[in-house]
This record gives sequence, structure tokens and C-alpha cells, in this order.
Amino acid sequence: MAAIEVRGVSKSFAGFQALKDISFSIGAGERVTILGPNGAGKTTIMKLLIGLLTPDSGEILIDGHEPASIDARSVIGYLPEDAQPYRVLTVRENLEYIAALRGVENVKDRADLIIGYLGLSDIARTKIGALSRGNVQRVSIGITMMHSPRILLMDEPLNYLDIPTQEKVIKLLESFHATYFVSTHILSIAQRMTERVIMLSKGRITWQGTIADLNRQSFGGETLESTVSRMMQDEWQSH
Amino acid sequence: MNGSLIKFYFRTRLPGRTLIFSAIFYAVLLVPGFLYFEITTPESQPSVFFYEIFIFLLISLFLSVSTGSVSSMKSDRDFYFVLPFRKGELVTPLMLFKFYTTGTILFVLVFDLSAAYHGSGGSVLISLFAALAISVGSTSIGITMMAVNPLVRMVVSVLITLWAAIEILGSPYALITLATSGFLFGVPISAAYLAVPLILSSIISADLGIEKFSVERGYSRRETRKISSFDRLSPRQAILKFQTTFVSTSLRRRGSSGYAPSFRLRTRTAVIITSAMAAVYFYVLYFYSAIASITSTFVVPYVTFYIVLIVISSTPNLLNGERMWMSFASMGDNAYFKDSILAKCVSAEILLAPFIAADVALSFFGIAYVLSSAFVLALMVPASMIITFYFFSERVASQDLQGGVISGSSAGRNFILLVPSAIFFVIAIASIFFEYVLAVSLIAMNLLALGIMFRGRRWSRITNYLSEHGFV
Repeated sequence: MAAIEVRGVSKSFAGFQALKDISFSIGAGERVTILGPNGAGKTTIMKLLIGLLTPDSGEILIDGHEPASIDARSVIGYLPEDAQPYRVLTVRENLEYIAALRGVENVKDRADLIIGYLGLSDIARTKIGALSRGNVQRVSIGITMMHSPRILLMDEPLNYLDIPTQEKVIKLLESFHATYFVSTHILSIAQRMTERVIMLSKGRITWQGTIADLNRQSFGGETLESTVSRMMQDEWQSH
Repeated sequence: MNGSLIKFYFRTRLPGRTLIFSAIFYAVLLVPGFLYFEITTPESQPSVFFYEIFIFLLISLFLSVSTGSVSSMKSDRDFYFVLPFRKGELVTPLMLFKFYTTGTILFVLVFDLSAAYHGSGGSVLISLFAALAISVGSTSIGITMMAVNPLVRMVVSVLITLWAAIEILGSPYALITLATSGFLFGVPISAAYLAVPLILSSIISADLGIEKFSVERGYSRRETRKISSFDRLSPRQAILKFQTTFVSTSLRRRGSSGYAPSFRLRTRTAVIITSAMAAVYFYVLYFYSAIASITSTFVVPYVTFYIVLIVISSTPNLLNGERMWMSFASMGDNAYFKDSILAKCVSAEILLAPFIAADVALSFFGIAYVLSSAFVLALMVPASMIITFYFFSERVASQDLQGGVISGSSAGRNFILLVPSAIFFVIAIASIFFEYVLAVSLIAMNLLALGIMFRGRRWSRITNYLSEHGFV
């Protein structure tokens, strides 16, 4: 059974067609990036997968369940873009509070583990409001992982992180053996974190394949960024 | 004074529809007030209750416009501070704008003109002074709250609290009676209305710090807090603990991410504060009832009126401090909404419990009419919170994305958010004339709240609305 199954999904907002007949499938343990320019519909897909939005048509299944169901939410970890935990709570309180909402057992031990993994020990008793944006992002990633999710949906997960922290987070994610679905418009993140790419433009899937397939699309000495840019422009012109 | 800046500010902040809606809103407010004075005999003075409402309106308007100023100035800051203006030049259009948009001045003026016609001369002057005080003071607070120096912010907060406390818990009746007795008392008391705002204005000159705020307020400052544990709690228990452990203010606005609480307070500390306030309330009402002519059983004491109105007007904002992406992704959104609102009701009741106790104690001393206050605080507050949240939270989310209703940047349709407060206002006034109105309202509101909690169908719609409008 696929971890994420999307079949013929369309979504519009007040007359604007954000997604048009989107279909893709992600197997358990697969690591996939959804790549596209700003406004392509990446965040809309994320919100549909987590059940915050309902599609106008089509079907979405998370581990065989409806996205808004408790079964689906219990296996998903969701990190939105520019995530902001509760500013009045400390780092540890945020981790424990969300773990409690998710019904995690041994909340305290789990929080200790995540704090250790992400190197948050020295700021564990600090209020979120007093942290740098990079540290807030680290805490948000920790919150996403508190319940050991089998499927991770992450919108620009490495935003604001310095290079050493990016490396630390990538290693941590790799050790989790979960299914990843990462939304980004930065190609290097796709290359580092995932093995398959779904390219999205103006609400349509324009291309999908492995990173190796993507490399094969380049002509001559073309960089991968130039290749992706060319592919997106070709797609715009054809519409 | 920079004329082009003033013109630009007004044009960008005052869409035509807002003017039309505000005109309709204030017209609706004016009619009952005008009728009241017209049906009373020329010899009779406006009742104590109406004087109290008058004061209440001034204070609430002052405080609400002040908090609105904070958000509007925050949102303006990034835009205006790249322009070649001095900070003093920015203050002028803001202040003029506040003065212009403080439409309740009209309400107060018509009340006063009508009262003056019936023999309570002198109150027009106090209205004008009060209007100016609202305008100057709210702008001052708005700017000063952004001062870099935390000591300045603290001093301002203390001044505002003291001023409000004197107005609310002191004797507004005595103040107004003196002020309206003639110019001898009217002028100094009117001037007193200006005193606090002028002090605040001086503080602005001493330490404005808006420019510095965005640059210098670093994110590296670490604050070590005594922490709470959510270990071994069910989701419902965790929500209840979170909502009842901390009380946080939401005066500071942080870009599009909503209101950022400027500080948090342990609920038990907050209860000590409300207990002290309830003690003052008890003391004032014990002696005050001797001169007040209120005998009706179901008249809401004005302090209660004020408290409930604050709760109702702030209820739709309950979403501001929430992090829906965390909560919705963790549990069913319907369950989260319901558990959260219930926990917030419990939290509100904990804070109000000292006032309820004071009301019950006063009733034992023979001041029977305050018992209605206990009922209102215990039953109407939670019911109105549930109803208001259920029907108006979507609009607030939308308003929040636009930059706030009082900042003047929002569309006129957001005036609908004043409907719950207006309904309560009508109930409170009607209960003066028809005692059963309050009792019937209490029963009806609680039945409606129960229905919403058990059979409400809009919870998912609220979630969907918030997601579609980028709130989650």
C-alpha cells in the first residue's frame, strides 16, 4: 500500500484554479520532493495531504486513510513553511504540549530525546519568543518528530538554518527511516534530501522522475538549476 | 505639519465603505440614547447608570483604540520609516486620524447635548476634552508601547492601569456630577482627562524608539522560565492545563503571524490581582450603593457590564495566540476547537471567581441587585464566549490578515464584529426597564451554547476557512 496516494485532485479558491487534476503516488519509505516556483500550488498540496483543506474533486489517501482522519494524522508529521510554535511556551513546553495532544506516551523521555538530537539542551527552558529564527525552525522540526511519524510532510524544512544545523537536520531525518514529502523551490535541498522529484507549475504536474532522470534532461554543460528552469519555462510557453 | 503625509495617510487608511458602515453603526447607537433623553422629563437628570455607561464608553474606547494603535503603527512602521520623515511628522497624521475615526465622540456628544438641553450643562466640554484625550492618549500608548526601553513600557502600562482603575473602581458618578455642575469643576476635571495622555506624550518624546525597535530588538535575548510539564496528560487535560496555567497579553503585533504575547503570567498570579480588584470592587460597591439609586434586581452593575463587554469583544480574538498547524495536525480539529474553547471558558471563570464571590458576599449585606452580576459572570460569560467564538472567529481571522479592525485599514464589513458587544449592550440596557430580559437572555444564551457544543456543524467550516485564507 502506498504511503501517499493522490488521484485526480483539483482545488480552486474563489475562482482561481490552484491545482488541476493532480495524481501521484509515494511508496512507503520513499523520499520525494515537490519542486516548483512560487505560487505553483506546493503548499496547497501539503494542506490537502494533512487534511486542512478538502479537494474539490479527486481522492487522497494517507496510509489508506482519509487525510483528516485521526488514523492519518497519527502517522503524519507536518512542518509548514515559517512554522511558529507557541511563543509563550518554552522549547520543552512546546515539545511536551504537542506530544500530549498527540497522545504520545512518556512525553518527558521523548522530549529529552528530541532535545538531545537537535542540540536544544541549552535553550530548552527558553521561551520561543526569545529565540532566533533558526532556533525556532529547529524546535519546529523537533515538534514535527515528537510522535515518531511514519510520513513527514515538510514545507521548506531547511529555511533559516545555518549550514552545520542543516547537516545535523539532514542526518537526523535520514536516521528516521520515514517517508518524506518535501516541498521546496531550492533544487539543492531536493538533491540532498530526496531521490525523486515531482515538478509542479501553475497547478499541474509537469514532470516527475528520479534525480538521475532529471540529470539526464540536461543538455551539454547545463547545470541542473538551468535544466529545471528551462523545463519550467518550456511548460509555461506550452500553456 | 506635513500636509501631503496627512492626506496620504487618510486616503490609504480610510476606504469609503468604512465611512458608510461606521455612520450606520453610530446612527444605530445614537437612536436609543437620544430616545432615552427625549422620553425623560426635563427636570430629571440622566440616571446614574447612564452616567456610568458614559464613562464606560470613554474608557473602553480609550483602551480599544490604544491597542488598535499598537497594531496599526506596527504595520505602518516598515512602510513609513523608509520615507524621509521625522518621527514627529508621523505622529501628527496618526493622531488626527484617530481623532477623526473615534466616531463614538458623536455618540457621547449627542448624549451630552441632549443632557445639556435637559439641564445638565457643562458636559459638552467634558466630552470634547475626553475626545481629545482618547485621540492623544491612544496614539501615545500605541507609540510608547513600542519603546525600546522595557522600563518605559512598564511605566506606561502602570499609568494606563492606574488611570483605568481610578475611573472604573473610583466614583465616576461623583466625578461627572462635579464636572457637570459648572465650569468651576468642569474645566479641571476635563483637564484631568488630558493629564495622563499628556504624560504619555512626554514619554514619547523621551524615548520613542520605534526605529530602534525593529533593528535593535534582537532575537538572541534568552529568557529562562520556570517551566510546566505536560507529561502523562491526555490531550484534553493538556489543553486545559495550557489554558489555565498561563495568562498572556496580546498587545504586540508581529507582522502577518498575528499577535505576539508580550508576556505571560501564571494564572495563580493573575488570580491574586483579580482578587485585589474584586476587593476594591466590593469596598466601592458597598459604600457606593448607598448613593446609587439602583433598586432593580436585574440591573447589571457597571463593573460587571465592563468586564463582560471586554470578554465578549476579545473572544473572537482567541485564535490569535493559537498555533493551528500544530494543533490541527495533532488531533481532530473539531475536538481541538471544542476543548480549547471550554478550557478558555474555565480559565476566564477562574479569573472572574473573586468578583463572583464579591457579588455573593454583597448580596449577604443586603445589596441584592449585585446577585445578577454573579449570574452574569458565572453563566453569561462562558455562554457568550462560546457563541461569539462560534459565529465570529472566521471574520476575525480574516480581519487579522488585513491588519486589524481598529487600525482603519480593514474593510467596513468588519464592523460586524461589534455585533456581539452591541447585543450585550442592548440586553444590559433593556434589563433596566424590563427585569426579565436578563433572566431570559441567560437561559437562551446557555441553551444556544449547549447546542453549539453538542450539535454545532460549523466547526469544520471554521477550520476550512482558516486554512483557505492562509491562517493555518
